[in-house]
Amino acid sequence: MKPARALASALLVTACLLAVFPDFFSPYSPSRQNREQPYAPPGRYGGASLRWLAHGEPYRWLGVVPASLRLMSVPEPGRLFLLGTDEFGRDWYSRLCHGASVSLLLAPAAAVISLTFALVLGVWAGYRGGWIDVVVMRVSEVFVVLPWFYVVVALRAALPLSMSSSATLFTVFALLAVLGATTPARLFRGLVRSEKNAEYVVAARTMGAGGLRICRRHLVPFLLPVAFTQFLMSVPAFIITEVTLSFLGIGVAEPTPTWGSMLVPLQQYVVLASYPWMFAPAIAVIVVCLAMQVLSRGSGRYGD
Amino acid sequence: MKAAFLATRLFSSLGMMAAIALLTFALIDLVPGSYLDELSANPQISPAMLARAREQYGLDRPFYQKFAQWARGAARGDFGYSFVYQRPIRELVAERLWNTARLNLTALAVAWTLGLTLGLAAAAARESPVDWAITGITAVMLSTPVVVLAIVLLAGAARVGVSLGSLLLPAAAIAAVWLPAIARHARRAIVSALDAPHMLAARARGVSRTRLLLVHAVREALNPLTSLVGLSAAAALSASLPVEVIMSWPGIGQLTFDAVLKRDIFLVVDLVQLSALMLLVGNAVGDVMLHIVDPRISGT
Repeated sequence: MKPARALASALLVTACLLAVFPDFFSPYSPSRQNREQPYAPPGRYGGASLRWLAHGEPYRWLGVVPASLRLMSVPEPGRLFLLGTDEFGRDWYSRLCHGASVSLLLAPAAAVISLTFALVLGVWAGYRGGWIDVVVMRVSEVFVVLPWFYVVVALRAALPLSMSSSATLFTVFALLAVLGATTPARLFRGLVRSEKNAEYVVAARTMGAGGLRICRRHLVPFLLPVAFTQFLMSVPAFIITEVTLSFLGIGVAEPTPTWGSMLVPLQQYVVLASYPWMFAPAIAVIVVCLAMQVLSRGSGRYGD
Repeated sequence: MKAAFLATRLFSSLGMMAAIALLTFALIDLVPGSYLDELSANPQISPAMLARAREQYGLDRPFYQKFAQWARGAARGDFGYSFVYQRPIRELVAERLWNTARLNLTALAVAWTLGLTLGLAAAAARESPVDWAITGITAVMLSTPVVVLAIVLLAGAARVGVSLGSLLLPAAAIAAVWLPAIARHARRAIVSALDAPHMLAARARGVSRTRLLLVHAVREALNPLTSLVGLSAAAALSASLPVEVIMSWPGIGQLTFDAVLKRDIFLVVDLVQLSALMLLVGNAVGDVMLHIVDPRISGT
């Protein structure tokens, strides 16, 4: 299990680096078109010679600081397409790097929001009991029996179709985060209920610690490992939701690259059958989700 | 089966469904733009006609009145009228309900049969290449988005040229969503059943390995698996929406998607409610069946 975990961690760290600094790791801007080279297979074109750490197309570090240093670039007019190109001759590898930002930054952010919410609700419900307990339990029971994808699509219906794609995605993820919070909240509540009479908690209470202090200093740290496992399990769910929504055309739309919207060309049979490199985003999703699975399985008793 | 328990659950779920309908209406109200606004771009439709339609469907009223109107109708079995299809929603749904139910039931049957078989095989050949292979396959399946699976299946079927029954392909895609979870839980349940001391005692008395596995362990393992029935139904229903859209299966999922794109609000609200209701019915039927299988279970 050890080597598998190491490999999974390495993969995730690499993917996160790509997501944070997509411009540095990719040779071109994600929207640069080469109309004369549609669906070019992976490779070098026009006698290009590869240069490492050279100045290429300008971009902005983290969207702010102007820069032009890129890990790989080829002098014009040569072209480097590591993963081929799409219909408009856009470098598929560069788009993959930029698409990683959504899957690997937005999805974890949504998971963190969701779990924080769940942690607050669960600890409160478990420690205090009373009406909040009843509400958390009832609501989570109902969310278990809701076909959540229908709810997501309906919520998406309530948003204007003309919203900017990042705003849409953020809203959808925020809604998902809140909806998704009830199930982990239930888990946390159960754990808190069994733990609140543990000796160290009772000891803290006898020493005069208030409820808030007990929750913050004793119960939340006790829950953190479980929350981390939950985090590793919910991120793939968010990633796959984005992929599904974007693939159906109600998530992030062109020209913003995300792993979901990049799968849209596969709806055409010609692309599906003849240009295997277009599958790159699908492979990326599978690999990232697999890596998280490997890590989550090793990281706790409450795994699944 | 405790009737009181079922009744309580049904009641609280109905309450929650009403709350969700109210919320959906409220959200739709908050957002500018409706189906009629899109019609107003059509030069053949006069503003007067639009105003009449607005009045007729009660679209100019606030969301809670729309909700009240909808709820009154729903209680009488009248689920409203679809603007887009220009037909009563009840008719529209009736045509498609059986398609979705058929698809999901087939998918669940496939998922449970294959999942249990794989779990059993992995548990029987514990810590062997067979076990590892099954673990690997289920891990990859868990990480694959259902849309990717659906298009790959479609492409595969098209390339091979085999004409599979039209039901089989979407059912396979949906089944793959929960199959790995079932296989894993089954493996774990059977392994822990096999490790129990009474199994060793049975071995010592000369019970054959096959009988031990297929009769003793499976019977014991079914119990922890029962809690997965409802969850697998929910997952199948959720997965059937994208699969129906991709594979052009004329079911509820495809209709919902269409209604969302065309902003046919009453249809959207009805369909979300309907999907929740299907799940409730499915869960109730599942509970009753489990109760028949093992009378000790009275629902969770």
